[in-house]
Amino acid sequence: MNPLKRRWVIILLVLLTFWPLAHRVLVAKFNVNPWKLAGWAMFCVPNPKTKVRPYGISKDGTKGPFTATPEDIYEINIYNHRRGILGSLAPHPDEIAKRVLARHPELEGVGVNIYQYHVDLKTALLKWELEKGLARRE
Amino acid sequence: MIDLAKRRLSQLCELLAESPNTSLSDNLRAFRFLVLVHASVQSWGYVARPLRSLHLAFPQTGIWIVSVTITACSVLALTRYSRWAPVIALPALFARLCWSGLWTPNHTYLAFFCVTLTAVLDPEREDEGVLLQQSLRWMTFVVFFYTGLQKLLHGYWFRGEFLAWMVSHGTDTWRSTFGWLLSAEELARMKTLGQTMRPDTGPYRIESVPFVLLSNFTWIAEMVLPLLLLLRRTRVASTIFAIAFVAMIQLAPRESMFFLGFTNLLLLFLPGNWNLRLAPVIAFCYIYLIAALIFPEQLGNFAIKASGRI
Repeated sequence: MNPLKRRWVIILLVLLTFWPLAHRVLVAKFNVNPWKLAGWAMFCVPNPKTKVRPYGISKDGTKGPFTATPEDIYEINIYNHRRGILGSLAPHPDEIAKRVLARHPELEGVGVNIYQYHVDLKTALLKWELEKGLARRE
Repeated sequence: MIDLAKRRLSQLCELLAESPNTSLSDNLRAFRFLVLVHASVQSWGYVARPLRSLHLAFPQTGIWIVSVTITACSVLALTRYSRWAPVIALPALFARLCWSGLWTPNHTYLAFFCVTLTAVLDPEREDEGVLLQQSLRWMTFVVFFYTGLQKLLHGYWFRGEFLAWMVSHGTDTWRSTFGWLLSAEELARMKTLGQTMRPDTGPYRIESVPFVLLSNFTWIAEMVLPLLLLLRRTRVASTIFAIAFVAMIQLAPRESMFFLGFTNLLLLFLPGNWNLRLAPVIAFCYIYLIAALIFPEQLGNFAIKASGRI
């Protein structure tokens, strides 16, 4: 057998063997979705779901809903999806807020709330974690 | 029509039947055929039930092309040009990985690694065939063992929190599979919890001893069985037990696709040519599965709840 072929197969198998451990570290450190990315950790935790909720800040400083454009909706959905799998390895929510703000000259700022649930192991109660992103006009 | 189907099935059986000169290469060829059928059925699953995501790299037409290519490769795997089947299927499968991107189910990765190994190593050559069998067996061990280890590391199976969550928020198959272990009051409480996602609701914990025992048995079995597969003395018994165990744990999520794919891998641990012997049965199950994906009402939704998407 071609020794190069043999070496290639062994490298692949070694990577496959240790990847799940690296995956576990990514899950613990960056909140990466354990169900995804070939870590063989599906069914280990309730499948985490993420909700990304943007809001506008008007010129007088009041926070509230704004009329999202189709581009906003598309971008927020994509971000929601990435965030749900990559955790904090996905771009910071400030980035998405900045991009949405660029399309809304009528607003003074845009905020993004990211909610993610998990079952707390100590109490076994459902908990929601909130992370915030914000962009203000310079 | 039925006669034609019967003739085709018997031709397929003849082609895959064990001959007196059956060797390791015949078994590995059968494995290769089944893994390509697996990848092909997974692809057709996306045609029958399109993935609703904005994140897909190319339009649905691409999935048609991928499905046709991998299906053609499955047929090619039965001819004398079978060596080329995984080689051609690999780029198509890679395109599908790129298509689903971050959404890619773990089972697709598993199929991709199997196809990669069969594309690189030729079962017809004795030394490569041996390495192929060893590699596939090792991959089975890794996947099986880590599914248990990850449950241990995440800690949601010790007191049955994960199963309690699934009984509450999962599909009804989770309730019907585990509900009998709970008292009527507990089951009612879980059902009520399943109707809300408000913070501080719960607890997702169940006092039933058999429920907690079953929860712990699952991850322990997932770690012990692969170790027993490695030992020659316990290999046959543990393979049979592992196949039954995987069938049992798939009762709740109804991931029949995973069961078939993993059974194909587990059969490689048995002495003899069990992939080859059971190939017609497994191929028939795949055909049934794809038919059920297309006609769920007529052929039974029971087998395809998750349809290879986890």
